[in-house]
Amino acid sequence: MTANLLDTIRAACGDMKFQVGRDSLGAARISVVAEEALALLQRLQEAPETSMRRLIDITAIDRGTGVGRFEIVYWLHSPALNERLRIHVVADSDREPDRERPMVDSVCLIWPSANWLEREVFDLFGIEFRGHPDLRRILLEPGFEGAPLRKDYPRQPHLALPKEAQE
Amino acid sequence: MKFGLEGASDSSLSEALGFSETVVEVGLTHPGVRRVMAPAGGTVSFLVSLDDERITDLEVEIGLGHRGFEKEVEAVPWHRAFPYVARLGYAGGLMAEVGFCLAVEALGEVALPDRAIWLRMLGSEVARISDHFARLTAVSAAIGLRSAEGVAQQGESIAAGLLHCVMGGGPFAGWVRLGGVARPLPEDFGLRWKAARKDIEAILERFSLVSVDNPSCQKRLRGVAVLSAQECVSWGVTGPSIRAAGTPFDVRRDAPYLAYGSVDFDIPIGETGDNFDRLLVIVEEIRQSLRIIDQCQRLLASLGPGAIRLSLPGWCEVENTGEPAGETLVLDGLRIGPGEVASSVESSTGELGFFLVSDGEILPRRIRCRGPSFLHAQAMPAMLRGTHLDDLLPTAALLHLVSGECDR
Repeated sequence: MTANLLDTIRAACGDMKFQVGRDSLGAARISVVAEEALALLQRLQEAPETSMRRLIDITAIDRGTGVGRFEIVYWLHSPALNERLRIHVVADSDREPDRERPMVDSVCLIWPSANWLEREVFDLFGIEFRGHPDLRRILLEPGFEGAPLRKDYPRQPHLALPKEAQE
Repeated sequence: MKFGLEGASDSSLSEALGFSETVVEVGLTHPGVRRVMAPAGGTVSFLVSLDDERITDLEVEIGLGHRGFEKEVEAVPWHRAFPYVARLGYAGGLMAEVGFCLAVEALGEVALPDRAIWLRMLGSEVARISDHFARLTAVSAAIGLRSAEGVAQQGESIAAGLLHCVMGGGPFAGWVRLGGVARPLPEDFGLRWKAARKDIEAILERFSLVSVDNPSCQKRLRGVAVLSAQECVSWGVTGPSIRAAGTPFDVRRDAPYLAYGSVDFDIPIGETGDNFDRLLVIVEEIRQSLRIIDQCQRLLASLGPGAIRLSLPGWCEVENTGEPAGETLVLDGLRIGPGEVASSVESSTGELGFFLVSDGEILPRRIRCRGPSFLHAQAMPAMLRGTHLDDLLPTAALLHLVSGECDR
């Protein structure tokens, strides 16, 4: 079933640059560079062959170090084909100004449900979404500083403070 | 934050009468919110823009129950995530534990013993019944049907008792373990199930009489908070709400896990996607869960006693060495992967997904929980614009926004 899906994707998006593969468990997985991601996602959603009409989830991974540290993961579902697919996009690069400010294009216009999911990634990972209509914190309070799901954010920041400051 | 009178209304009638648009906060301390949302944790707050009683806009404020779930579970070995995973729901936390275990077990590429598969299914369905009755209780309270509320509450307590009997403890008993379950069914489960099943069927009959067939219930719920099948897909709404809109989407059928592919059950669907259809779907889903439990119970009885967990090092071990015998102290934790896995279960609220990334180290690289309530909360303004203030809490009750998986 997955093999067919990969062929379908290659046929529907043949003119685009991306890598199709499977994860260690055999699930379909696509890697694409940030510049091409929006066009590919739009095609996957719109093309009748793939019709990835439902965005299951958007999240990020912090790989820890180096360029390519932040990866955005889109998890899509095609109700018509009953197939699921993950798209991995690297959100940072060594080019200015992206080096310190990981950023990808917002997919809110493709899937309305992306609005809060992107806000959550912005809130917890500090990754920005270009073109998002209302990019602000969602789970944490507005004045919160930092991106707690980054691996360099301490798990219990209050314990890292000097003793006097804890009281 | 906006309170009190705010801006001018676009309705000329209201203007002529001297009314203007009002923004009201229906928040945590609102008695209605407390009553309706309490079974699900209830840490959601609504900022409602009103033109008289009509909702012109709605802002749903979430995150008040955020406990840093993903940060915490990424900082400890896999098996220590359980106290947090269980609290992604209340009775439904069991389904979250099952979902998490299935994802970790897929990453570790281990196959469960048959008994563990059927036991987990049985547990999940009992938990689903308990959660669904909690919804029925909440919606009955929200529309003021006291007798229906009492009837649904009886169902909830019977299901909770049954769940207690399966897990051998309260709602967070740690029954589901990586690689199996902690204990088999008690010997008298067959008898208890027979009695509970009879009671639940009687309760459903009674509930239909006082609620579904009751004209005042129909008046309050019909045509309210409609979300079409297409809107459900584009807003990521799943669970009873998408089924009420006529789409038979159910993870148990579309991406079967455990042994859901080999049991008989029907997926009830509605027609219009309004609150009344949601109520009907929830009631019918309880009946279908009864059917599934019947099949699990029969199969488990035929399998007899035997292995209910993996006996591989690292799996099914817990840190508590007190009891039951046979469990050993884990010092190091489980090494699985490297790899990635994304898998989902059908919880009582909708599609509950886990996305795990492992580097092959003791600590996970990434644990992500996709909570259906998060997306349902986001879709509430689309459902409720144009309805009345009175419709807010019944809708919230039927969506069953669970704080655990919404705020995490």
